[in-house]
Amino acid sequence: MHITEGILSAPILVGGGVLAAGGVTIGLRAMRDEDIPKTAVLTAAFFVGGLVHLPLGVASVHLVLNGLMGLLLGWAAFPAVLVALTLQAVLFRYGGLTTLGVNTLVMAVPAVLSYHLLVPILRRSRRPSILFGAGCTAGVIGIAFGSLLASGALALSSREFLGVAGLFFAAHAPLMVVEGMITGGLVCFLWRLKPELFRERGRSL
Amino acid sequence: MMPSMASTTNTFMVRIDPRVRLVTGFAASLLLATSRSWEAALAGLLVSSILCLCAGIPWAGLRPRLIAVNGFMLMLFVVMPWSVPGAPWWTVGAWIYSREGVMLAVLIAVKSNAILLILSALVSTIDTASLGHALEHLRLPRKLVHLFLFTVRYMEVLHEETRALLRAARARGFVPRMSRHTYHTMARLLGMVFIRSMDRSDRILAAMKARGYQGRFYLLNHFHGSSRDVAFGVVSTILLVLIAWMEWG
Repeated sequence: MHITEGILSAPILVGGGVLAAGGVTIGLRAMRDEDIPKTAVLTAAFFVGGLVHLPLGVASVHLVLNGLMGLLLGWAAFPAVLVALTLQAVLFRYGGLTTLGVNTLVMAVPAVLSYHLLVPILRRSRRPSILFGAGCTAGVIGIAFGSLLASGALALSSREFLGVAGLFFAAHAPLMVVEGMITGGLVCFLWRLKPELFRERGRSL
Repeated sequence: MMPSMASTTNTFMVRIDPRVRLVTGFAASLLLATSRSWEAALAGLLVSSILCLCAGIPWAGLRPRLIAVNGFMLMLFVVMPWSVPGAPWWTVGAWIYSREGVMLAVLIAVKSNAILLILSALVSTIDTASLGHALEHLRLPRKLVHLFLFTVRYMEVLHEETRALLRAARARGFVPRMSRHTYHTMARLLGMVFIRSMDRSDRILAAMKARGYQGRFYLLNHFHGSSRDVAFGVVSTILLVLIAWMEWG
């Protein structure tokens, strides 16, 4: 779900950077000093999760897991995404530096959205089917809303990108299914082994 | 795991202050990303290629990234010329595959490759720990820098752990397919990585507190700008101004 460098227009890059900086500031405020190691571990886990490839038809996809990131981190997902993307840009030269703002928004906004929508459900319920459903929804929101934002950034950047934006969004549809299934499974699993994950972390503001 | 170029090259590039490289790399990619003229884009590609050669960036590390970036560019070539108005290259019914669209896609490809090469030469040659310190010196929020440094520290550990779990699963005959079973297995496998790493971070935090950690890292290695850094900074500023002048002058 990356937008490569050299494509987006200057206003979109700057606007994305400013909005992302706002989100990161809120996220850093929500994160206490003693939360840093845990947030870092989760950031690293998401980074590594993104290296796992799964077959999909003739192609293979890698997981994004930003929905789950939101459920576990809340607003701290913003700094976490920024760090993960910076590392990707530096280590793998994936994405890039100027697009960091836009790409952070693309992944972190759906994360925060799933946090606000679904964590209240996760805190109240203990039925496996509801837990799976909530996790699944977070996974789908993560990809669907994320690729929608990315397509929007492309389309707003220049009218010439309308076709590309549409294709970009459509290409992510299969990933939504995979991501939803895996996030659902992950939430059930984590809830059984460590229910406090969904209570302690990711406090609201 | 760490395809960082820091250890593989031993050229003048590694001796230049990471802060200077970071700022220059960022400025150059910003300039190229927003440029719309051929002169600026081609000059950027030329300068970045020379920079990569001088920095001794190994081709083996560069190739996969170039393939990935240009794969995306291929999509631009397929799709974009249909939505850019201009002289038709060929037409299918009412649809026009325009020459202007192709040229625009080439321009974007040139810019993207130039930025990739610049980042490879300047930023990827900084080892991740120095990068963290450089970020702190550049006055980024302390918590953010700490998050970065901790993440760098855990990344390799977690990757090793994930690989071990995957190996164990494969040894038991697990073959990833497009099936519920695969998703179920992967969810549990990743869940296990998460749980183990959370426990690990609790232990590490406890150990750090026992050693007097108060939520701060103290920077021991301070960077000192040398005349070499100044020279590099001046030369790159001149080049950047030249490219900017081609763009807007």
